[in-house]
Amino acid sequence: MLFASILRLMPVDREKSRSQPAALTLEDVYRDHFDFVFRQASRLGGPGLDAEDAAQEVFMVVARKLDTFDATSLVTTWLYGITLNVVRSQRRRARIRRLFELGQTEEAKSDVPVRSVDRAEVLDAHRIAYAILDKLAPKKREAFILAEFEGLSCEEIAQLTDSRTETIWSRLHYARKEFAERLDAHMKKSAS
Amino acid sequence: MKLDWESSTAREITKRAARLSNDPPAGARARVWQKLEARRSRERDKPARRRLGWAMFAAGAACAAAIALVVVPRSHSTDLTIQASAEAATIDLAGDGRVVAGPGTLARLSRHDGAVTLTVERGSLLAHVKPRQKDAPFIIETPAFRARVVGTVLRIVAHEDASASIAVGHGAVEVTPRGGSPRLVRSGERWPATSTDAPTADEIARMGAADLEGAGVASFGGPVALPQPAAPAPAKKPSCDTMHGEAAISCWLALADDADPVRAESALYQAGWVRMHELHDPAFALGIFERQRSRFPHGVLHDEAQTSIIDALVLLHRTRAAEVEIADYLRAHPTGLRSAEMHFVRGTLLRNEDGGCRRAAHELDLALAHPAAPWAARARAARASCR
Repeated sequence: MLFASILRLMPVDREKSRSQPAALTLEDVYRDHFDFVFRQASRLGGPGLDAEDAAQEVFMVVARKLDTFDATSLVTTWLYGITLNVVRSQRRRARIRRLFELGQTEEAKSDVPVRSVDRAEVLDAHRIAYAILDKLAPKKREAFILAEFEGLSCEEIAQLTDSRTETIWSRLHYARKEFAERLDAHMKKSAS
Repeated sequence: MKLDWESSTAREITKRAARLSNDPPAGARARVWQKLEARRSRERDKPARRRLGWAMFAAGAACAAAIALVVVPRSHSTDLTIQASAEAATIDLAGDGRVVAGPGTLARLSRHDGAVTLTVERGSLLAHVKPRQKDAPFIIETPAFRARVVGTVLRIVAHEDASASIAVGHGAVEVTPRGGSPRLVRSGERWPATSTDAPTADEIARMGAADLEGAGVASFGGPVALPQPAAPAPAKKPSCDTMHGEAAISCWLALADDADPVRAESALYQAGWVRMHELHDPAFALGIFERQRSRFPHGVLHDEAQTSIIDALVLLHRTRAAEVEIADYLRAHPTGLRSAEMHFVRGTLLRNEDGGCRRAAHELDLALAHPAAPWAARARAARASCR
């Protein structure tokens, strides 16, 4: 939910960024936003994606493009856009790799140790949710993650993904519907 | 849909899944930064490697024949890197003239639409530029000035501290100091006035009488009184990376006062590293690493400082303190990059303490989860001796 709180601070931050046009360095961005990028990569990529690799790739892009960042938007908004593209590209590559592995797909393992029953339930829900989400179309999947996991409003998602709010409403509606249907099918399959 | 969704099992699963923390694990920040730096450094080296290829070609030809003839094709736009290694090299500029590059010289020649630009990065060049059309000038760029040559014999020197000089042996050159106005430097004159740079007898001999237009060592004359540039280029600070021993440590410690915390932390770590690995002084190094850790408790190199502290404590035979640090490290990073190594160190310390493997065996087993690690052979030998 950190991301949502950052977005809600937007007017103040934006004002600050206008009054402080000092050039950002990679070190500044890394120091202040590494955790943010890691969390977003982890959230958007799910358990099948190496968030450290994705974060590294994001900051490589930042290093190349930092001089083009004009401070008319929040750094976090800019970073979010880069993270989204990096995660999309890494998921695409992973899908292609899996095609060539011909069914040797191994279910993504969580390296998080289970310490309690509650945690086991959370991990199980996380695994099931991402298994279903990975079957959704990328844009529906993103809208769902940002709305349901990050708690963003459709207006905020529209702003981040440079889309119309109505489009996001529509994507989220169909994503929830498909998620519920697939979960239902999954549970019936598990019960039988 | 909203009401259905809110009360659905799918909503419940989603809510539960959202509770899983996505915070980066301990050490991730430093690991990613290190990989990032390594990748950026490789990217920065790429163009340098390409230049080096040309340079090695030029230097190799110079060594083999003493006189290198590099023929530059007259294409629309070309680039050539001139590099002389231990001894001077003579390079033919394919119709534009000839240059003798002094030892250690690095320069770049580029042609574009008839104009030629010779950028001297370091070292000296004695050049004979053949007479040219005014609309196709021969430009010489150095960190301190830009010279426009129509046809002449001259010598340029670019020093490591970003200063440079020019001496004209024949003809005239228009010199524009950085931040100053153009001046004409004629045969027998030098710029700056105080310059003592002069061609060597070897360079004159290599150039040959035909290209010198009658100029000799004496023709490059004494200093010429010309105003100095308003703001001379500041001398470049030597990099701490190129220093060794105490000099390197002083350099890094001076940088540790940098306002940028990442740079300051990195400088402290470098100082400690040099103290421990170059000067083999773990006691002093330990002090530096501890200073780094207390000043930057959440710094990007925190984990590196901690593992270096452990290394230093082991070298100082402060076993108890080392074991406490190892326990802290393993608690924070049970599967960290150096966790297996830490098990190996702890296993070795326990084996020495107990004079047996009662407590060490388990640690060595954990260490051998990484059988290809550099210390794995020693861990295997220690474990074998336990049986």
